[in-house]
Amino acid sequence: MNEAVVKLLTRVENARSQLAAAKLPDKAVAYCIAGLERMERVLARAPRVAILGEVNSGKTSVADLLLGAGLLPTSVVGNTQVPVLIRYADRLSLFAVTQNGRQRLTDYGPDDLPSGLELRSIEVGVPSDRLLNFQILDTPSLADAADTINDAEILIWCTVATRAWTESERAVWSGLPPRCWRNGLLVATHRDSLQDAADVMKIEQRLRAVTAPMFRDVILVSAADASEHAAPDIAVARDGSAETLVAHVEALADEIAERRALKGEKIIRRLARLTFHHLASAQLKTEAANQLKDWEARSGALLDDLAHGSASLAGVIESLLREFAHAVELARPGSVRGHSASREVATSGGAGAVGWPLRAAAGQRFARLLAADLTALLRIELAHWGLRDPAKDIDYRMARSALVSLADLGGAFDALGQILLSGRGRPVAAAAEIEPKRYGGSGLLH
Amino acid sequence: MGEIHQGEALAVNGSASLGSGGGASSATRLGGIGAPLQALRQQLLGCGKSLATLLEPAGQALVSEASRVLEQQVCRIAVVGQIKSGKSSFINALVQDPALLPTDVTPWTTAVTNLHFGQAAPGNHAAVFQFFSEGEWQGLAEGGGRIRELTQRLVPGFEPELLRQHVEALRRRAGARLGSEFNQLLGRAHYFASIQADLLRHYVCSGDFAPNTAGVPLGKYSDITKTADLYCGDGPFDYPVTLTDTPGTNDPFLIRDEITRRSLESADLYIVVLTARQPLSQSDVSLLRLMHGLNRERIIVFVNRIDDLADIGRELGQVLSFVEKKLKEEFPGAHIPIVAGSAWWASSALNLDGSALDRLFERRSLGYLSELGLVPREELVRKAMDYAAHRERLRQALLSTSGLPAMHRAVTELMGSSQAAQCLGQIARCFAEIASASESATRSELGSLTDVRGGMVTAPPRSHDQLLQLEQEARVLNEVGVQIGESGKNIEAQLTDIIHEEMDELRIGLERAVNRHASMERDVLMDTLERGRAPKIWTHEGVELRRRLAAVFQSGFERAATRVLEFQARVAPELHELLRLVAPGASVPTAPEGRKLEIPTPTVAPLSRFVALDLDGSWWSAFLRGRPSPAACGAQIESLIKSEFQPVVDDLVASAEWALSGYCATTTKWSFGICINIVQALERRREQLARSYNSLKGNGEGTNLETSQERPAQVRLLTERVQLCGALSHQLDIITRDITRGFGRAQELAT
Repeated sequence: MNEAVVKLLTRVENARSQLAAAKLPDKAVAYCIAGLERMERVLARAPRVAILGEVNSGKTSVADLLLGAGLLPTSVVGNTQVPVLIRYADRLSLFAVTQNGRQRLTDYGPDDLPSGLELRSIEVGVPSDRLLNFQILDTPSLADAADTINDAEILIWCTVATRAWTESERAVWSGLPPRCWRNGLLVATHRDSLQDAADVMKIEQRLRAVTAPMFRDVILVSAADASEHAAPDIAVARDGSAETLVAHVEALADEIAERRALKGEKIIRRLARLTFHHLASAQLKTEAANQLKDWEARSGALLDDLAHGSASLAGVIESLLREFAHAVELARPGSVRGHSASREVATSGGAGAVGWPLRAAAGQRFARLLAADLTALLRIELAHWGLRDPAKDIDYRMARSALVSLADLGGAFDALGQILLSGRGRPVAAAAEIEPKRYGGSGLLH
Repeated sequence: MGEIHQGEALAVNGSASLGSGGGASSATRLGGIGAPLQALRQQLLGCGKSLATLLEPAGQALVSEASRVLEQQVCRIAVVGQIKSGKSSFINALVQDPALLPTDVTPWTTAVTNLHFGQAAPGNHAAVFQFFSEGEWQGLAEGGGRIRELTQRLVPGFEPELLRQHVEALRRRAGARLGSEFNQLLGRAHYFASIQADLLRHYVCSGDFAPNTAGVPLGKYSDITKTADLYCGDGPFDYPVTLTDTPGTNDPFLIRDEITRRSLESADLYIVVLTARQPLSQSDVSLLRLMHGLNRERIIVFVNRIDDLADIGRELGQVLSFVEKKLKEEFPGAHIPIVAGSAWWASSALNLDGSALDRLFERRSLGYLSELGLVPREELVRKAMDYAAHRERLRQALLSTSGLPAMHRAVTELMGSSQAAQCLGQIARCFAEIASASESATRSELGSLTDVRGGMVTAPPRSHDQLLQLEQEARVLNEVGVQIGESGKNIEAQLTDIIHEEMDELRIGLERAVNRHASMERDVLMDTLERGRAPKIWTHEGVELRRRLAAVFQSGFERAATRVLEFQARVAPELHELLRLVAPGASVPTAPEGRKLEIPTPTVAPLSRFVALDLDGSWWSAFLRGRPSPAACGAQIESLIKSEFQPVVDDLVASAEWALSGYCATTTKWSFGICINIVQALERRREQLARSYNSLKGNGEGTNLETSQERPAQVRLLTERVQLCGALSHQLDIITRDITRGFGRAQELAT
């Protein structure tokens, strides 16, 4: 399995178990745990290779080549007119997917389904290490291509080398979205039917020329039909084409896993931050809750000003920070160095050029996110004395710590501090001196 | 206008083989395709020659015209199929000349290649390569001709980008290959007095992905070559045949597909080549559907490349029964012979040298030969081929499993029920009629001659009366001649009326079918759209409508044909009456009853035309996107179906009309020709008698020695003529029966 995915999975699993261990009666936490579990499932699934092609183009042979010899119980899936998904399992297992869902088949007999059940697909679990890197979906040729590609990251189009690439094939393939082209391999089967090496070269040349740019790569294989051999060990083509094919697919699967890890990390960060924003929102004593409400009303008004265009982004951010400094000072007097709770701080105005978003919509999003972050921070300050159940404080700290590290908020706050301090040497709001660091990372626990 | 390239190539005329097919031993050569039909044709030509000597000028003209038609008869066989199904290889095997047409692993054939067998080459050219004309090239170069035109009509302003790219590529390549020559070549042709081994490669091969070689590049002229015509001696054919090789269908290079479709129209027989590994795929089926108009008794399916199957013994049966089942579904009630084999094996057998053997033994498919018991297993090793006897056994085994002998039989059989056979049958019947008419006319002449002799001996003084009577007869004859001419015109006019009436009827029926279908499609589409399920891909069910139109056409044509035949049957007695006035014993041709073959049903080829509605699904979605409301979509589709099928209906009606009036013109011409022939015979006899009476009168009295000496010779001559005519009509009856049997066989097999 891809390294980045493994690393991410470990992080997510750790964070999730921390959150679960806190046992907080908090909706946000419950949502977050469910979301993380789903992400883990998605990440853990090996990229799926769907094998498409016209009738008798050697699809099942290619599946055999990908899987390696003798592991796929071909007697079961041969002549089956439904998609067959082959994935990793600890031991050989077989499932029938019907309109009622997935059903384990104890003995090999997808034809013996109770009447009224319509077989939609078959799933085969095979204990093969190769399947840790990719799953294989063998499709019946009559299947609508659009249906099968939804869950597949890699597509293989099979074509017979001696006829390879006809108009009807082109029509189907070119109708697929470009995403499929990027991760599509054209596999010409029955290479052994060609007379000599020169022919092989010519065919490959032609295929590359006429199918560009619709495939990532073109591979010719001698997909020997397993049924033509008595012994399963020669089902692997003798010319190394199986190895080439597997290497291609594995490289592609790795790349896809890498991309998926990057994307997954982003989603997880966002999920963690959102959870952080909503954490403990219903757990404060009345007085503390009122202080929070007051801040929310003020910050809300500022955001409205920004939305209506009656204030600049820089101005609103400055005001937000000033309001925040005021609220924090109220919540825990002495927090803001060298200042009373007074709001009269020298304004500087026009701190606009420090890399904040220029477009109005993006600016509003940025301000909203900042306000939400600040709300969460204020809630932390209030929680020092304002929790209805003070005993929960330590659990919340634990959960918060897990979320902040998962959301990479330490970094975000650092960045905020940088922005504020780099305001062209101008003394910006007192809020700049709140020491953003004390909310980030492990600092919270001390 | 063209240029003649001379080369030191093999002779083309005679039986010399083209290319380098010299490896075939005479023992393995097969031939005689179409032999039965050729035998019938030869007999008919012989009959024609004999007949011509027995007839008056009117009859002679008819017979010599028919003989000319006979001499020019050619059976046209088109070989069609998807790309890379092995059409060119198959043709090479069929004509037993493995190097005739160039073949390759990539789509290779670019032009329609006509191989003419048993036909004299015009101007003694062995090969003629016709280039696209300026206009045709512009048509292609400006956007792919018909497909472009259809797309434009379907979705105005829609640019088929791909086609444009292909055209661009074609233009660039042609420019690069031909340089300044390019513009001078369009519209012209290259002529060759002989065929060099590599000649064809410059004209009909794409030359794609070929390694660079010195000299003229492969495929130099291929981009602009429209057709190639090669004149090839007799080949394996006894009957004159034109064999057409086509670029494959389903070619992603759309222009080649386009060229093929255009060439499908006018063949007598079609050999559809499939590959064993992917037999009758969806594209094959749509090709067959497009050919539906080409009469179904005229298709042979060749399942090529059985050597590709992993386990031939086990899989071939499955493949064949699959193909058979599928064909039955597509063409219920049709008899389509299926032959399985391998063009590669056939070519290997014809040229079984070391490298052919090496290749054969590289594949495991040879094991099939021992499974069949044709070659002992222990002989199936490369080393065993050092022995001539083993090689010969392998050769025979390869040949018999290659499907070639079966294919020769199938083609021969189908030729027996082809358009050519139909034409032969018609001529045979006409000959028989004129022979029997001539027989009875001669008989009556003979009768009157003996009368005259009797009368003359006994009563010479009555010669004056006789003369008067003859003059009277001459007047009647004249009148009858005029009446025959008039009634001929009259009958022709009536027949024309009948045909017009029937054709109007046919048109109404066809249009009704189209309209009903159009409104049904409209309702279905509107219903789908209204339920909010805008179809991503909506395919028009053109097959249904085509089937319906074919049925309407069939019944409409049969009704018209029956009316024409009935009318002719009614007219026959009138003619008879007329002739009885002058020749009491003469028999006139009567319209045949219950002989449906008499008027051959024309093909429904217009139905196979590619209409805009048959376009690929992705173009449809563009069409649907453009129309806002379901009602507008529905209305649009309705009018589109109507306007697309209107020309099809027009062409169907035209072809029916052409067939019927052609038949009527021919039969009327023959019936009246025969009558005129009789009148001319009578006239000749009258003049003869008049001469003899006049000379009697001049002598005053007594017997005329000259005439009395002439008479026995005359009688002998006429008696001979009667016998000859009788023999001829007998022989022609047999020929007609033989031809009819060929059709009967085909029909028998179909049921």
